[in-house]
Amino acid sequence: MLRFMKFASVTKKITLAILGSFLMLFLLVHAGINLCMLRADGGEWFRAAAHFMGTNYIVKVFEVVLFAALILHILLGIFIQWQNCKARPVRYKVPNKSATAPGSKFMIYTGILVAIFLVLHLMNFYFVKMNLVEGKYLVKVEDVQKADPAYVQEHMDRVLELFQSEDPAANNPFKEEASGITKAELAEVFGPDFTAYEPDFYSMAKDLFNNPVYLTLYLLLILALGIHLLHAFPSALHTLGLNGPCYDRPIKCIGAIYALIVVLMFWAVAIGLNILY
Amino acid sequence: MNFTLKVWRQSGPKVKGRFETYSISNISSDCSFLEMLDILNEKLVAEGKDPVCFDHDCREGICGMCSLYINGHPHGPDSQITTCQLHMRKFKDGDTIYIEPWRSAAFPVIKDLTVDRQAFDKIIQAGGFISATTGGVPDGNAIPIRKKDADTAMDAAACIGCGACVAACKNASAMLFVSAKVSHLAHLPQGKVEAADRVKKMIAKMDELGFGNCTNTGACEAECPKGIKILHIAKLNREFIKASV
Repeated sequence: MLRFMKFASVTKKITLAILGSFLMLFLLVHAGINLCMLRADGGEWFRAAAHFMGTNYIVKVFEVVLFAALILHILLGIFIQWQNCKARPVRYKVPNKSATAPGSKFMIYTGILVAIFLVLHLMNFYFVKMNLVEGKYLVKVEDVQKADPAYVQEHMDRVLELFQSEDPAANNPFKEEASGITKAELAEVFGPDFTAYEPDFYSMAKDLFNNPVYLTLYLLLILALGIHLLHAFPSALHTLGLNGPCYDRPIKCIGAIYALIVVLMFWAVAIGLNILY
Repeated sequence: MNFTLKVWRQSGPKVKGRFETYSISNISSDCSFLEMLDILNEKLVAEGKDPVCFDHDCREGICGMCSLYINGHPHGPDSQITTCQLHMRKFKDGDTIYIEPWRSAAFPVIKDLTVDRQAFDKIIQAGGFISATTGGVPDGNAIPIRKKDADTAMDAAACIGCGACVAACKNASAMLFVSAKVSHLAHLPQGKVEAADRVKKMIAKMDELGFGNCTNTGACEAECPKGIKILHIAKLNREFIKASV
């Protein structure tokens, strides 16, 4: 990082843009997977997607790249902002009234809001996977055999209850996987040494989005992300030199559409889960 | 017309400055902003006070000498003009007008509203030229240049180096100025030869002098008296990438 600080301003700017572009692609993937939650299947598709994202090795490599990109993007953004503050030690009495690109003046503030959201989001979901925070879990029916037989035998009624299908008319009265189990319940039913469980992101998301305070906070912070993205897309392309007289307006339009789509996708899932399920 | 002026007064580079309030009356609406300041200075001199120090030269909008950050806009509230072309009819009778110098670490205040813009000269000295030996004058038509390139180069060359881009930028970045110079020369065959060296050296100098980083807000483009587009910054980025890889 120390050596990096000495790089030319344009090098820093290009690095920030490349990292940002990668994050913008990731957002589309994330929002797309989130949309699975809106399907009226009790979270089947979403759990399958979450399982794939949590276990696939290629995704795991990308996870490392993603976190590195995020951290670098944040650190570099803060560093550039600090340099920019130093470039004007005495501020103007009258704030600048020049016309600017939408959202461009507030990148650091919307960025900070997104970073706050990220901490909250990681605590709610990612840290559960890392076993740092307690959440809700799911157990696949074939993994029940990995549990301590004595415990399962003793709590057979509870196990059957967990795997009871919601649909009374179904041919098979039992589900493939039991979901929304707390850690205390896991230890009680399957024994303290049982580890064949996965985080149940669907149940956790459903609980959170049905909490009106969390829902409001989520919607507002996603809006901040949208404002960040409004400038991010055209700015990143501009920084990479991919702009010209014929492309300027289309790029700005695509940027606005991209920001709108991302915000609407995340909002739709949050509001949808709150209203529908 | 009558105005209340809040003018930044600072007697030297190291001295702490402050806003001074002046009332000025009977100003013609056709009076230019600098003429209004001339009238104020005559009044101050008559009262035995120190006149307000400000930069000016040609007073026809081509030299880039005048500056002034007026009510939140470099060169005042009108578009694509320098302060000398700003007329008092752009203000309302009885307005309070804040007049501040360009604010940037790279443009230190010399006195009152005058700032030291030598940083721009240093950037030009770092590479904003063509170091060809000048022999006899070649035939103008011997070097074919595409009309589109000639026009783009001419648009960039319109930069008068006034520093409004730095003053307007929230990051006090000089990218519009540097990009105008880089883009101007990079669009022409004579300038292409040294394009890679030029862009690297000029950016290095710009960073060294303490200008901020460009974040593509576009405030510079909105305030540039010559209407230079930030698309030249995209061109500078392209030139920089080309020079680096």
